[in-house]
Amino acid sequence: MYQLTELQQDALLEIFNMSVGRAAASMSDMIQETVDMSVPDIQLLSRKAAGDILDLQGKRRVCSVAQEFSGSFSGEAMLMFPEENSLEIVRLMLGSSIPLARLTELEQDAMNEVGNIILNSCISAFADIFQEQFDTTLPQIRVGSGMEAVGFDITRQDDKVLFLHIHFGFHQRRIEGYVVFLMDLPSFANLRHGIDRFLGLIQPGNAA
Amino acid sequence: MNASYHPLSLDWNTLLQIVDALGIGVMVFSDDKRLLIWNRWLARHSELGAEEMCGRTFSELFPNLHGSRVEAAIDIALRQGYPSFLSQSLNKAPFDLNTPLGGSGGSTRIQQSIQVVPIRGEQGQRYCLLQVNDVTAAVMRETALRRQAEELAQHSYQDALTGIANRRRFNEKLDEEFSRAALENRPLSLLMLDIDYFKRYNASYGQLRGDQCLQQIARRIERSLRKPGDLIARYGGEEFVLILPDTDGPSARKYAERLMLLIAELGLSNPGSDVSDLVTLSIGIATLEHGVGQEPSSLIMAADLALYRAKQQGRARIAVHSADQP
Repeated sequence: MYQLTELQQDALLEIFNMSVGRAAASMSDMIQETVDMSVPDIQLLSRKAAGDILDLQGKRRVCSVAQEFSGSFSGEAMLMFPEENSLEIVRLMLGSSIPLARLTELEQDAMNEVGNIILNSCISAFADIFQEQFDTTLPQIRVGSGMEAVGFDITRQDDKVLFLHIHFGFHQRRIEGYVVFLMDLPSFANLRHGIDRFLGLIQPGNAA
Repeated sequence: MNASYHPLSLDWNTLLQIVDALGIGVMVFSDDKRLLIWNRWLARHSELGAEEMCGRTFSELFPNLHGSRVEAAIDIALRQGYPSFLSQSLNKAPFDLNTPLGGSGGSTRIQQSIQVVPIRGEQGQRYCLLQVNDVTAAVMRETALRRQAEELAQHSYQDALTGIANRRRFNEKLDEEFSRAALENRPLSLLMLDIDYFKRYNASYGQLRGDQCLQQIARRIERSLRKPGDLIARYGGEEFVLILPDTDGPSARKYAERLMLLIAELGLSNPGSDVSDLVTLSIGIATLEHGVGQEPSSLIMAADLALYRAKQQGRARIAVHSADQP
């Protein structure tokens, strides 16, 4: 059915890695410290499967930063971390010593900014593939279950989710998170066409 | 829709009045980064009016923000069309906006969170909208919260009577120093102290003077610590314990001898004592040499055994634990 070929997957991985590399560079500038970011793998999942991975069947809280985007296809892009990882990132970045149990208001703002930088860079990856402008909203931060974050809805079970693993490295720590793109089937079909066209552009012999 | 409610019935001047009436800062830049709108909130907090600001470029207006994240966000909005959110924590207060303090004539800088949003005009021209929010109150709230949390954390590590570290702090510190000593192959000494005939001191002078005696001794020993890594903690009733990192057996002994002198110099008389007119200490010493040892608890037990021997041998003295003595 709707799957990505190996070639399409590789192309996406390469483009996303370039994009998060740019995001890492601007974060390094901000905190005057080297930040590494990479996307080791990319998967296409159902909403239910994605929600299960995110909150381990409801066992953990997830911090998500979301931006809606629209262009040749539209949907919602989200950066997600288990809540404890988001606490670690923000506190490493801000260098605060006293651990409070939850993200404070200002820490949530900082996380929102980090999410914004990463999501803008990921959406610009689509802009690179499609050679066109994508519009996107300001980021919105939420903390809740993974299912709540991906908006699991029984009537939309067919919807696919583009699921990226993202690795953050700084202060000798490696912190794991996810970038998730929620889109409907027509949008997904457009994405596949876009990738094929992009592959055709860079490797004329391999056009699908 | 009723025609009179159509948004187009608002003229440019009315719109500007609305922007001026907003309780946040609003700036709009054209695609060549010239300032088009500088609302009244910004004028009030910068003491710079729209007439002197508008029409000039970002770099003319804010030379100190050249190459900053704010400028990068404006460029991203104008060139790529992406919005950005700039938090106070990661950007502090980029714009020179102040609130008068009232009375004294001073002012405080407004803490800012900033939203940078691209706007597309009808003919496709690009604009960039900046919204500046005052988050000073939130910053103050969280500073107070953090200070409270810090105090709370400190109290849970403090002995209520003497103000020195409590046993919980001692346990954590010993674990830290023990693994560091083992890892770096350095010596670590532990001194266990007991005030001789303290129960008789209490009986002679009462509980209150007893407490004061404990406080004086704790303070005197704390003042005598040689290195930032040294720690004195209250171990129980009239028992204290000292952690001395990077200290071998002979140095620990020398330090213990000095402590005996310092306490004698306090000149606290103890009429109930069988060994002196003054308050004295018995001290047990155990040392972890060259990082060899089983675990922190065995070091505590060794110091405790040495203290027991010091008391057995007549009090007001020092005993050192060595491996061949049980």
